[in-house]
Amino acid sequence: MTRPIHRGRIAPTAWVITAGMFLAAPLLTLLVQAAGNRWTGSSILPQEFGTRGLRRTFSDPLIGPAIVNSTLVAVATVVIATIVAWPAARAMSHDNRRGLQLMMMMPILVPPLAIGNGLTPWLLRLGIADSLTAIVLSHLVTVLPYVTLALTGGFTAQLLESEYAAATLGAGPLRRLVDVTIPGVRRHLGLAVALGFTVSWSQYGSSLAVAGGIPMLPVVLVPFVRSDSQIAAVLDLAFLLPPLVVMAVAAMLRQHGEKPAQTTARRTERRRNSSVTTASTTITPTPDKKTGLVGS
Amino acid sequence: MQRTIVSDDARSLPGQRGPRQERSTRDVIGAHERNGRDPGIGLGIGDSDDETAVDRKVRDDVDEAAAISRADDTSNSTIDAIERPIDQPQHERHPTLIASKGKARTDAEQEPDERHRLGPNADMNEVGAERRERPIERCAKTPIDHGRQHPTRGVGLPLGVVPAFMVLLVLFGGAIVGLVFDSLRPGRIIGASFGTGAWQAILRDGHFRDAVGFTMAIAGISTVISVILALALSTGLQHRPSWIRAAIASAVPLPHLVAASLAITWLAPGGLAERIVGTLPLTIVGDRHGLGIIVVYTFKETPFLVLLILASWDQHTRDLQEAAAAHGASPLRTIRDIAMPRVARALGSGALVVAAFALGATEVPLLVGPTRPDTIATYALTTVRTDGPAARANSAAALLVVTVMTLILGLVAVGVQRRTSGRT
Repeated sequence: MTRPIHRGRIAPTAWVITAGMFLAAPLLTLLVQAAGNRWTGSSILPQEFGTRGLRRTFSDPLIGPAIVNSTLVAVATVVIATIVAWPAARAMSHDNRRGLQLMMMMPILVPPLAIGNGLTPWLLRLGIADSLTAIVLSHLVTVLPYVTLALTGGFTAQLLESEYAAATLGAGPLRRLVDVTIPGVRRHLGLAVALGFTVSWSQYGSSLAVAGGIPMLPVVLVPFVRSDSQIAAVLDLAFLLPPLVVMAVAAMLRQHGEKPAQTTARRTERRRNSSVTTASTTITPTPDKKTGLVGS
Repeated sequence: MQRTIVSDDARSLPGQRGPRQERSTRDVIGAHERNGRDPGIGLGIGDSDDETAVDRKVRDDVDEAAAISRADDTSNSTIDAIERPIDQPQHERHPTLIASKGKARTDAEQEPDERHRLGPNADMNEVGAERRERPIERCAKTPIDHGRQHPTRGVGLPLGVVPAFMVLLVLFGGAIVGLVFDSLRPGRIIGASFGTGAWQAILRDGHFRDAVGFTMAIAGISTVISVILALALSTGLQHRPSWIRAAIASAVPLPHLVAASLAITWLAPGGLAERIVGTLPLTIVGDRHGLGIIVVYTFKETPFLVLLILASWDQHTRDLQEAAAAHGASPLRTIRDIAMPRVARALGSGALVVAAFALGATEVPLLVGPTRPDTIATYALTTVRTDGPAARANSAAALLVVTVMTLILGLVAVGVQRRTSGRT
């Protein structure tokens, strides 16, 4: 007796609500709150919509510099992390030692506030505490493992073979990098950059510990959450922008990467369907000329 | 005959070795261990990782045998040569090698050397027998550049990892050392000397003890709830459209700070939830039991765990479940006996990572947590704010405690991954 499993247990509406709770509710809440000039009493929606939140947010003397500082720090951290992580990811992609991977990933687990507090005495001695450099260094501890992790998957054996083939055909190191390696790891590189940027952009504890006097977006946002919900909502939306871009880029890259495979799969499926002879019920598939795939 | 064993293993496909070959391969590896080489990973029969380790070991043995035959590569011709009976003359065993390598010598050329070593009256049949029965332990002493042939198995760091490793050693190691020094110099800024005063102070401090208990409870409860919800969602998501998965996964990149901000908008007294359904039966934001923190962590970590589970719950697992269901297994049993063992590895290590994060996060307890008790991170933050720079050592000691807790959880996560890797 065959019993279908996991089907129809929860009504589709429940799934729509669940999905909406995770995707639509946060965004809609922030948009409505950011646009609600007057929202009093027990009303579910604001009584008055407008741009007061935007105007007040960007007229605040701390918020403009905070956004600029956060952007500069995130860009600098990601650039340094990518340069340092590139050879590490290349080496680790063919290294099965878990101890090494564990060592590289440990900083992810440690609270950023602890990292920031621990670095502060050294940064004070070096005379760079309370500076953007100090923030970049403290963010690097957390961002570097993420970037390494994201890049590692890109250096496949196939890519290394392609590099070897290019070298055999006379391509120099720069040409191999530009024409073979970067296109080969493009998807993982995009993911690594986006992930690194988001992690640095969201760092609260380490930014506060090493440079509490320098305005950074998360540090500036926290006081507004309790004091002015409209400005907090505008800042939340600004804060969400990079993660949204991350998702969009990741989705685009995934779609781009999957197209050839999906096309091949569809072609193979068509061949399989066309080669099944219903009269004799035998399957006589022909291999694909390009891929050599047989629809069996 | 170890050489014959090597050739059998080299000829067979991975996972097709017979019991004798398994045992023999173990013997070979045992010989390597006695010679001080790396022992490889576990050797359980049927364990996929271990079989990979055994396969690697077998490849090494082939390489060593090739080196003994003065071969520099591991081509098929070399393996074929090793597979032939060892008592054949070398020019028959490995004609291509002899032809290509000027240094290689035939048995006929080697025999005078052997005769010279053993004396003029030595029986060359005995020489051949000695050579045939030469144990692999002796052969293994032949110097082979494993680092060159197997760059991933060397003892040292791969060169490419060095820059990243050095950056982390300086910054991460420096941060830990800085915390230790800070914790041992109470009031460093006001000129106090080294001592354990800060440690004694926080251990005597009731607020700190409460903070440790509160932090562990929050991390434990939110992780358990996230795991249960993630399993339920993943089970239900098996045959749902991909957009629902994407929508649930969209909460993963949402910063914790934004999630906490949303929790205040919805769940604080007078928030959206109260405006929609009336007065809530519970105080969530600022609740002294940490309900607000648990809600935010659960909202944030459940989608992360769902992604991990769905990545492990592949089509093969679903096929096995369908097959079990066709044989009469209940849905609950197919999940418990088929799906759970396959997702346990990802779920276990993911849950420990989530718990480690919950132990050390600062912004969520700061925004939606109670004033008292603190979490360890907020204790470290507020103790400096309230007691001034002199309390910096107490703050460092508290942060060291939570750092050690997270590192222990990280190590446990790796252990869980290793233990379950063979079973999945």
